[in-house]
Amino acid sequence: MLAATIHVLAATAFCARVLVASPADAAGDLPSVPPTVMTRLFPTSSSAVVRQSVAATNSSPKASTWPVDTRLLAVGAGAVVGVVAFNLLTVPLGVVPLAGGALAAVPYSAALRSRLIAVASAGAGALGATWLYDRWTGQQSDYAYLATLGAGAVAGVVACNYLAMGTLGAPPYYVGAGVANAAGALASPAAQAASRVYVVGSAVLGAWAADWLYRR
Amino acid sequence: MQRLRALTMIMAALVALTLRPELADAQATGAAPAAAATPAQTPTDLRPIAIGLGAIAGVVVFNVAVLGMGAPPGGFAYGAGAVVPAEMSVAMSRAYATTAAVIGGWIGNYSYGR
Repeated sequence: MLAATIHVLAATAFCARVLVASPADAAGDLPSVPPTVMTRLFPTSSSAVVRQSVAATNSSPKASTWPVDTRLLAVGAGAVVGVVAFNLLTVPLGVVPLAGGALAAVPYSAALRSRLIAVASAGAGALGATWLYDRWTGQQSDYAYLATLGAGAVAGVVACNYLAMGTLGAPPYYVGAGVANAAGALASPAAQAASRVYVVGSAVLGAWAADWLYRR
Repeated sequence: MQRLRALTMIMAALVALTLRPELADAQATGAAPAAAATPAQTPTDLRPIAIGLGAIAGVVVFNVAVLGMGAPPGGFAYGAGAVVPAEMSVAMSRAYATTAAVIGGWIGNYSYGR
């Protein structure tokens, strides 16, 4: 199992390298580059030094013809592989490692709701951290782009919930919500583990779609 | 309790390094931190690290604020033979999923940038 996980991670790294080595990326210089994730994040970084810094960080996507930013593709693919690898590696530890006790059955409504909470709270935390980082370093991110990615991620999770169960899994969420909704269909332990992949995968797909729409 | 304290210290150190990029760069290169480092002088962009830690922190803060200390992984709030409620187990799942996705995203970003 560990070997399989290592192979999956290596394949992801290889795919990222393939994205880097795309023939469309072979030529061009930063000033003529179409907007990418990193240049979106540094819209006001106009000095030559900063451009060199961005170019060093964003070393390859020169004139990409990919519909979605190639770095965002690599990051998203890495995120999905990361959560799949977690599920594979923690099989011996149970569905929820280090939970502290036996797991009560999880209603589907709680699982779907949890996906929305995950993407919303993670997105809010990421935006807050970006704002703090900008304040600390004196840089300025493109918050419209970041908000678009976040909205796309939320939309992706909502769409996945609806397509899977015909419902969005709306809040409220509180201590005791599981017992209160126990009359609903119960998810299996395996479904709870799979739900982690669904939420990350659907959020990544939503963010990719948002990037594509933003760049049009 | 000791595990929680150690985890808190590690997270605080990571956040401090993230918020002080010039110190992290200085540690990496062995140089003294610049008195007034500007973004242009920062050779390593720590923004992906900050974004990832922020995402994880967002999930953890929500879990603890809404559900209390039964929500973080580790079983700090449960005794022997306890049953973990559904909303708590999915909360732990959220934290695991976000952390795993962030680490995978960092690997993807690093592989892409090489």
